[in-house]
Amino acid sequence: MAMENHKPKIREVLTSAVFIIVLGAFFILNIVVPAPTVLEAERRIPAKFPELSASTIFSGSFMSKFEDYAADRFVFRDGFRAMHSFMVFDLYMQGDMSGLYRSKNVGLGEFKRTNATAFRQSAQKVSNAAGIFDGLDMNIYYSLIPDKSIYAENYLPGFELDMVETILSDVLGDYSYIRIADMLNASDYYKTDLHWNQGKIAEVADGILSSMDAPLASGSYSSKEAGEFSGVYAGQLALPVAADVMSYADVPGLTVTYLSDKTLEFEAGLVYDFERFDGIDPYDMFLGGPQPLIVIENESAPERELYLFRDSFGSSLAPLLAASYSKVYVIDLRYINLMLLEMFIDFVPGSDILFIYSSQIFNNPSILQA
Amino acid sequence: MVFSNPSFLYYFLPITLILYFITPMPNDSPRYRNLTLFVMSIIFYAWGEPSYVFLMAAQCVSAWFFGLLIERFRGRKASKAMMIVSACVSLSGLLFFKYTNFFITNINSLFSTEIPLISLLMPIGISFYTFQILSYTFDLYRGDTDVQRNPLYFSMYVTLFPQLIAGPIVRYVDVAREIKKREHSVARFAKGARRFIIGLGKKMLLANLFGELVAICKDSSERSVLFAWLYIIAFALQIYFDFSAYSDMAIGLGSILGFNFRENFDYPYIADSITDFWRRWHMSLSSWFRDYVYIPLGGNRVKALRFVLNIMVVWMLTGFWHGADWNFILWGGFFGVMLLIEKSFLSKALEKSIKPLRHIYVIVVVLISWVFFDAEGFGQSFTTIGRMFGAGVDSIAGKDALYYLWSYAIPLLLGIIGSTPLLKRFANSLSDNERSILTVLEPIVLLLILAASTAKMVNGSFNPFIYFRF
Repeated sequence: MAMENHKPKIREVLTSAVFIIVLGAFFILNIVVPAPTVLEAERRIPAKFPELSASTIFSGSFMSKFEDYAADRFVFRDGFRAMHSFMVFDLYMQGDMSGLYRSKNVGLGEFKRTNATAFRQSAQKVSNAAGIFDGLDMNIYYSLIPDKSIYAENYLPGFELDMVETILSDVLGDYSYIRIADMLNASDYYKTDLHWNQGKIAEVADGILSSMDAPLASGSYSSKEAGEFSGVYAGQLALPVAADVMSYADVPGLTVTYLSDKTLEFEAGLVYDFERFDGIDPYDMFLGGPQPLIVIENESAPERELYLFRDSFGSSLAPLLAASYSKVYVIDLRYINLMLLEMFIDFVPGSDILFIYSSQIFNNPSILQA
Repeated sequence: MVFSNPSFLYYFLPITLILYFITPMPNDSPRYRNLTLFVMSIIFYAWGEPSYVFLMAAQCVSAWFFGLLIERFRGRKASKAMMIVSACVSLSGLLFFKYTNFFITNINSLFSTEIPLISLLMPIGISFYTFQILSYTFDLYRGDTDVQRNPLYFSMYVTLFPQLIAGPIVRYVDVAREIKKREHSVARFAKGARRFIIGLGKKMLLANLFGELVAICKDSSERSVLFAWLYIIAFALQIYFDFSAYSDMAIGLGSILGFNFRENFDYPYIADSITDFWRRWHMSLSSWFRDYVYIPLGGNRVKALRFVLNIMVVWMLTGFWHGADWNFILWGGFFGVMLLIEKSFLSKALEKSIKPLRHIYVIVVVLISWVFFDAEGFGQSFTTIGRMFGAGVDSIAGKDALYYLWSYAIPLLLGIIGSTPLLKRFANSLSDNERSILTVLEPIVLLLILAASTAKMVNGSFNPFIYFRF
């Protein structure tokens, strides 16, 4: 090796050493240390080492998938992600990290730009769904669960409540709107998660029941604690934050059956599945998480039926509403097509129908099968 | 493959450096190391463009072969013919992949025809390596460099991975000696490592952030004066830090591997005239057009009208090189007009004015030019420029614009400071002897930059290189 003839300075040696050691150490560690089987903090399975073949190389898919694999299996990944969050929030003092924010009163969250077209399309899908009840003399209501960012003490861009309410009113003006934005505040949502806290939405449930002329029920149940959990944003932001306490309402007399997607029969289940509380998404403890169709029955409630079209927020709302109905059908159009409902439900004319979705669902119309 | 990616930094680069430095150098000749570099450069390119490796290989073989013929027929008309044929072959790939759809679209618009567009991706870096090949062909014909008879050496020059896909445009004449003999040392390695890490930091810790802000501004429904200015300032910083970062990393890697690449940027935003700006911005491209287009056209030693024509041709071509769209031609033409204005009278007026005024003039002109550069169509350009000056806006500063101004205040401030030589002057002011604080400070700072850049990489956020599309 041809070398220039002068004694290297200490600084040059140290700089070269930093470069060589860092590149060399991570090169070796990334090969030697086994790849994780699950990225727990991010609640996802990491990218796997891609298939190596002539076709995957010439199509370029091997290379692009390897990039994902290399990033996902990077050693000390969570530490680096924490360092990144520290830079964004504590060094650059930025308000958010690609929409993920940290706010004193609402905690961690993510705002997304309100897409007026998306809201209009989602509202149209709700309208299509409501259309199947034409001629059944149903009482049809709709509601919007606002993104918690609107309750932040500091302004956060993204969700524009006034705009989306105008759009919803344009498309769904034939039905009754139940406004719950004024019944909520920052503390009603978990600080590390996007969801609301079931133990704090009794007022919202009563407000909805009142709007549907159903008896109020908040006095019939009490709030209990399931334990501590860190919500989805804690993992995404990789920030050291205090865990939330998951609470739930102990509503007496409820029995639940789930539509099995394997047998297409209703099977008995739990209102709160505490085994799921220890799973990847603790919020799945409410009505078993993602489920296409659930029936909640309450023998002690007045004889009336509610057809609740909902998302994951509805999983925790449904038991509170069920306190006032003998039967509540909980329908998730993300997992069941509207056209299939009549196979499983005999709709009773004159019943109540409530469409209630969070802003995230309204902002993403493609996932509703209506 | 991009430099700012774990697969490059923590897989490809360590493997390449190990292979490169264990490759023997018999009699101080780097011929085996050239082979190592060539192989690794092909892998580097194939990582992003597996099918276009063959196109690049054909371009290399063609230019090398015609180079031999240029030399063989030297002094005869055939030499010129070989130079022209070689240049045409080299340009054919660029013209086909980059400009065919532009011409088809314009022909369809003009003559109401329906010629179908071609659906081929543009090979990454084709604008850069074509210009490198052309520099060899022209310099060889003019007798400014010796012919390269070894096809491996010539191909290694063209494909050399540090500068292959986003410049700087390295001329053959600048590295001809180093292809045959080059030196390696701890000092050179350290200099290269320092430059590479600084470039990586500029890209990961600043340019990408400005890119995020640009995307936010473009995506917002708010129409305010503040948002328009935020957008264009963020874009100006993004394109500078993005492109100069790539040049820093390329120059740094070149230094580690024993090559000296020319500088490509010299703090362009402190220029005090547009003429000065183009002496500092993308210097390898502007000097390429100067030496191979402007001067052969006659430069400024022609009649006034021809001089105007020369300037406009060169600058519109410069714009066209950046992209096959009218907005790039307009962008280049805009600079051509500004340079003509400066040469005719404005330079003298500027010289008499105070320095801050000259800088403000440059910044405003350059910012407006970036609007043309980044716009999709003329209409959008004029809408944005209008908003910058209060036309067609709902407010001076809306809620979102204020939020993002505060959210990006520190990065913007760092970007503005970083685009001046203040930090460099500060570092230079520190004593460089062994007992200087710089001895420990520099490695620590570089380690922090490397760690922070890795954190940003691993987090997998926004990471495009703007100049890849050229």
